[in-house]
Amino acid sequence: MGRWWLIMLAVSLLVAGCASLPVKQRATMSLQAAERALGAIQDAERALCDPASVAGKPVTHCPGPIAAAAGLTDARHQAFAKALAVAFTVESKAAVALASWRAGDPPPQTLVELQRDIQDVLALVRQLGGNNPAVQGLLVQVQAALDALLQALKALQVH
Amino acid sequence: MDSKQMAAWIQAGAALVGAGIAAADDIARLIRGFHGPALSDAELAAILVGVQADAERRAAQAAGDAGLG
Repeated sequence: MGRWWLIMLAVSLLVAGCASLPVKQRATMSLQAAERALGAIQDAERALCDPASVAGKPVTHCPGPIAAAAGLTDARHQAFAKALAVAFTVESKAAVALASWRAGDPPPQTLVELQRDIQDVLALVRQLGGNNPAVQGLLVQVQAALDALLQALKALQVH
Repeated sequence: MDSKQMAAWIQAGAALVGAGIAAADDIARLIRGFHGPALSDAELAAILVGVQADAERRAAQAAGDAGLG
């Protein structure tokens, strides 16, 4: 579990951030951090659902005691995957929008939308078994993604 | 818990720890960049293209998991 706290510390440092860097660079790196955190959430949830999961191959069933201990049913896994599909699609659009962003423009609406989508993922993680260490790890990761995204929004609003 | 279940637990635990380590290392790398020199517009554009590509790949994977693919 020690590494999860490293992630929290890392994101805290991001949020504290070096204000002297250009606004767009801060926003870009924060969006990248949010995407990496979301990716780690996807990998961890798939491993929790099915320890034999392979990247690129669909995981539609959560067999065995690991998922059961975390309260991760097939239906919850599918709801989680659906929420992640939405979040990653919006994140992709946010990257395109940020690429064309110029100083003086309002923050891209897709960033605000992504914040809501990650909060939806957070709500789904909270439905799982709260005392399970794997679920605690997921919660930390989702919070890291949210913190990184807030930093991107903050960078674009304060210029 | 039988030995098969125990092996599955260990395998899942290793995968979760691996994902956590990868994420921590990634974010640590990002922080070094955050406090580093200013990047050019072309460098920022390249980072965002990478974010877009990875997000699209992961969206497709999630859609497959959700039975939407």
